[in-house]
Order: sequence, then C-alpha cells, then structure tokens
Amino acid sequence: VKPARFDYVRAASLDEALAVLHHEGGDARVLAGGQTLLPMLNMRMARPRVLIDIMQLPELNRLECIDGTIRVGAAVRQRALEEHADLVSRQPLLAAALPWVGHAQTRSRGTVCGSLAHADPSAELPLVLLALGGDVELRSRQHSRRVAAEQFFTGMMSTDLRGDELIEAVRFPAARTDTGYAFREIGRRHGDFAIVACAAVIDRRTARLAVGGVAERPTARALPLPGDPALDRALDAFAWDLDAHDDLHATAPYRRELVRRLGRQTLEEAARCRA
Amino acid sequence: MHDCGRILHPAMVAGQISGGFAQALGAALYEEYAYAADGSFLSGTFADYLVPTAMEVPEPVILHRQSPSPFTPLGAKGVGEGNCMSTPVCIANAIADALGLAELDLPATPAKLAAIIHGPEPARTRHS
Repeated sequence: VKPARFDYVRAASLDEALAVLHHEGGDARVLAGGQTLLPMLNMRMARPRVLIDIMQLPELNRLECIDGTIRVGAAVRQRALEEHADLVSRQPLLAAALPWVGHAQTRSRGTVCGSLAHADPSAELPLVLLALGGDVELRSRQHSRRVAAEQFFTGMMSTDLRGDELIEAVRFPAARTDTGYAFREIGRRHGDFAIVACAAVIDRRTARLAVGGVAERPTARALPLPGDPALDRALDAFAWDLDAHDDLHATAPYRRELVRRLGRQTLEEAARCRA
Repeated sequence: MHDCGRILHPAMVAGQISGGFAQALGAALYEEYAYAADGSFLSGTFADYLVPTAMEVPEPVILHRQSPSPFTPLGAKGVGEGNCMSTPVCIANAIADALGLAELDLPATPAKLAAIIHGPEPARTRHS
C-alpha cells in the first residue's frame, strides 16, 4: 500500500529526461499526472527503480492546433484539453469522450499522454485516438518516431513504447467536414472504467466503429453505414471477433450484446451528427 | 415512509435515512463479495467492490409517520440507518415484478438483468 523505494528525478530539460531513460532503460518510468502510475506503485504492481517527473518541462506542456491536427504534449492534463475553448468544433469526439475519463478530480491531474501510455483496454483516450486514426510521437535520446494508434496499442496495457522512449506528444486528427462523430459508454458507476465504450466516425461513404473494454486493446473496424441492412450482421461478427471475456463486472455475452446495441446507437448518432 | 416515534432532531433523522438509502442501493445494485472458482477474492479493492457515490444515489423523498413510543421518556424510537433493510427488498421486488421473476439474487447487476431480459445468446452464425 506504499510504494517500494525508488529514486525521483525531476527533469530540468527534455534532454535530461531522455538521458535518464537511456541510462536506466526499463527500470525507469515516466511520471506525469500520476493518476495511474502512483496507485500501481502503491499496490506494487509496478516497481521502477527511478521515476522521471516530466511535468516541469514547458516544451511538453503545449496544446496546439496545427494543420488539421490537435497536438497534445506529454505534460498536458486531461482537464486542459477538455477546457480548450474550441474543442467541440475542432474535434467533437474528444469533447464527447473526455467527460467519461475518470472524474473531474482525476482529469485535473492526469495527462492525455499518460492515459495512452498506460493503454488500459477500456480507457477512453486510446479508443478515441484509434477511432480517429491519430498517432503518437515517441522520442528517445537517439531518435524520434511517429507510430499510428493502430500499431501503438499492442495488447493488454502494453504498447510499442520501448524502454528508452517516452511519449512526447499525441496527434488527434481534427474534425473533417461532412463527417459525424459520436461516443457512448456503459460502465457500472460514474467514472468507472467502461464495460463497453464505442466511438464512431461516419462520413458520406464510410462508417468506422472503435470498441473498447472488450478485447485486450481498443479495436476499430469499417462497417456498413446505418440504414444498410448488412449492418446488423457486421456488428454481430464484430462483437464475436472481439473475443469478449467474463469478469467481475460483466459477462462475455453481455459485452457482445452491448457491442451490438451500443455500437449501432453510436453509429446512428454519428450519422445524425453528420447530417 | 418512516416511523421513528417522536422526531427529536429532523436533520439527523433525514441524514440517517439518506445514508441508509445509499447503503441499501449499494447492497441492491453494486456491492458484492465475489470469489473466483479457485476461492480467490475478486472484490478486494474499491475499484472492484463498488460503493455507490453521489452520482449513483438519487435523493429520496422521505415521508414520516410519528407514532410516539409509550416505552421511552420522549416517545422516540430508533432510526439508525433506517432504510438499509427495506430498500433492497423494494428494489428486488420491483425488478421481480417487472420481469415476472420468482426470485432474484442481489446485487442486481446489468449483466445479470440483461441475461434475464434477452435470454440465452444465439450461437455465433458464421457468414461466408
């Protein structure tokens, strides 16, 4: 219930953070908002030797809207993105999903990129990034690279992030014209992790549905548009393909039923928003 | 509707009833000591043992009936956590009535009710 001993480095520059990461490799963890990492330390589910605090780095605390992209730096808190003045018009899917991320109290501490790095299969922000086809900017001392959401989330709480890398920023594609977005979620209580969460993106010709909380990572699929009689069968196949499991809060059949029903509702809402 | 005899402290009575109602809602819909088949305890943290929060608990309409007790000097009766016992039964009976059930194990979770409402899931149909 208290963490094991660790060293704490408050990085004074991004270079220092990257140097410590390079030196310590997998024994170091990046500390941002601490809303997930610190409970994991307390429960001894993570035992890093060094924590590298990146929250004092102004270059990581930038929130920029450039070239059809919303770029969120690693130190930007979820609440800062949520309160961004034009978020609803710039990317309505983010605006719809953010209130579902934990609680207002945790969002005022937790970071957007921290949620992506943790990669909980039922978390909202990875789901939204996948639905939009965004990517993450990774950086180590030697190189930087951009990885698409589709490749970044590799499994249950695991990502493509290497031991010497940190997430520098995430890029959410901004809203496109003639495109509808919708987000829906079912959980046990307000602020709990989703049993099933759905994010839909619909334009004139294509419908894309991303589902979280069912498979070991968020999963997206192109589906027939609402109104197409093939949608029900495609949703049913999607629900089964996610390989749902039983746990304390829901059964596999209930999860599949939610994918079929909530998935359809989310797609229909996105289609309405496009119109 | 509660009868705690003569009400000595209305705010405290309302507090006990409201708190008891919240706990009762937890018992009826959320809280469960769950164990896996191998006996391991599954609801050992408050992330898994779900206690209702202010977001889940509606404000109850509290009605009083005051029939003073002849056995106490002030006519008061007990009201400690009044509601804990009655509310789960009311919720369970409401669900049983709505779904035509003879019995229902609490907590009445969404997955449990969905299974009752939708019946067995059809086997997967393979599409070519």
